Amino acid sequence: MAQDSSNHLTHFLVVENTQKEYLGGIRHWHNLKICFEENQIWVKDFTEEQIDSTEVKSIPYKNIYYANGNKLFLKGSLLPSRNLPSLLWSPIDRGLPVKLPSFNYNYFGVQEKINIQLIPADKEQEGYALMTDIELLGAYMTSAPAVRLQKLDWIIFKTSPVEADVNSELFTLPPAVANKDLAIIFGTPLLPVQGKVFWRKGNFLIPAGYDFDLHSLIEVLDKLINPQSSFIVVWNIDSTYFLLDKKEVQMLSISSFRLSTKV
Amino acid sequence: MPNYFLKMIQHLRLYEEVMLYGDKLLHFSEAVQEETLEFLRSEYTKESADYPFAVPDFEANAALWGAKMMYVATHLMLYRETKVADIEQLLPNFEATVSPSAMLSADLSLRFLPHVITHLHMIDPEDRLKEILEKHLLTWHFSGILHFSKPENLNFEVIVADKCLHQLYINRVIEYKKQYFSTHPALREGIKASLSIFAEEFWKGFKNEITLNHD
Repeated sequence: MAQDSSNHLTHFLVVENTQKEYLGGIRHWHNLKICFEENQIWVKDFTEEQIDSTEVKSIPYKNIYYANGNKLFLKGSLLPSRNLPSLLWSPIDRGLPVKLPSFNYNYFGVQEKINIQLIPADKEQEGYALMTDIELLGAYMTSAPAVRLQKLDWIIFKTSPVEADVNSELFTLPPAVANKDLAIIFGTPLLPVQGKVFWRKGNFLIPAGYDFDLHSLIEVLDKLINPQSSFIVVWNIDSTYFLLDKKEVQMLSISSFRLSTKV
Repeated sequence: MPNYFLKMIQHLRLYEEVMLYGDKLLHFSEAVQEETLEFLRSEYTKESADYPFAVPDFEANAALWGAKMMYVATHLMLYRETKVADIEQLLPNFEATVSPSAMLSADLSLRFLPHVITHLHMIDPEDRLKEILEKHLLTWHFSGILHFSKPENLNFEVIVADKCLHQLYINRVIEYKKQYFSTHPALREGIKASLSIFAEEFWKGFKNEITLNHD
């Protein structure tokens, strides 16, 4: 958001040295500058939003000044209370370095594992891929207008009987899925064909309406499953997955469909 | 003697460029025609895999006629010694009826004709050759969508008769974004169905209804 420069005041926040820990709450604002006087800590370069934020308001025993000319005024006061001291400033994340806690040799939880789980998502995304049956797709493909296909890619794969068993209850496709040719079509707008829609997160295809319980682990998970990034990882709702080779993805066209399926 | 006709058509289909081999015009021997036809037939088979619905059969006469038309037209454009009176005889009408299969078979080469006309127009807007080619495109307007700005005087009976040709025609109108074609009664519904609810995404500024009211 653009700032109103006519309304802009330079604010200074001053706390006692003993209150240093409380500055942890604003350390992540990289625009701030910090400096250390004998027993006081000075912080400056706040934006208007930052100075009025809860993070600043919740720092106890602080003084906030604003500068006018060479004088410092207490916030809300019209009387100058002190002169602007000359100080040496440094970025706040350099001035307040983070110390990691020392290693806990008595920690025995190393063997613990976490469960990767898909849960219903609260944020909606645009569908990116469609999994459908070859026959259902065929009915549309033979009459498809070129404009609907131009941006799409696709892949055919066979479900093994085992996989089909695992998925049998989860699949909403009408015919039984055992040992059947399925196709996934990538790209938007999705085709008007019955099937399962997926969202996309990097190399992952996640069933629409779901997201990972621990969604910040997606990148780690992707590295573990897919170190070369050469596969598309398709997730099922029961948190199982299977891999599709990216090399086998082709551009979708009527001829590509006809020549691949011999319908 | 090398088959210049075949070489020119092959080059045209492969690189979408016209390559002429000197002023070798106007005699198409049986063997030359037969070879070229074989090539056109294989091209049609390859290309028709991408046609929607049931693909009409290849029609040899029309394909050959279209290829000759392109060959002669480009020759006449470059080597201008022919008398104006002869031009019309060199570019005869297609003898048989214009069926959907003829339309699609001839289109293998005829689709490049609008570009030839553009070049002729740049050389001389009053060119007699240009007029003749435009007259042919009126009949074979599936190949000429790029050339026409409005679908006036065009006969859509053949187009509508075949689902495959009809859809291909619609695809082409959408590709070239021909606003006036999209309001033609023979195409309107089909174009709307093809664009469906994504009209704005596929065709920026597409206005089916509004233009209708103005007409």
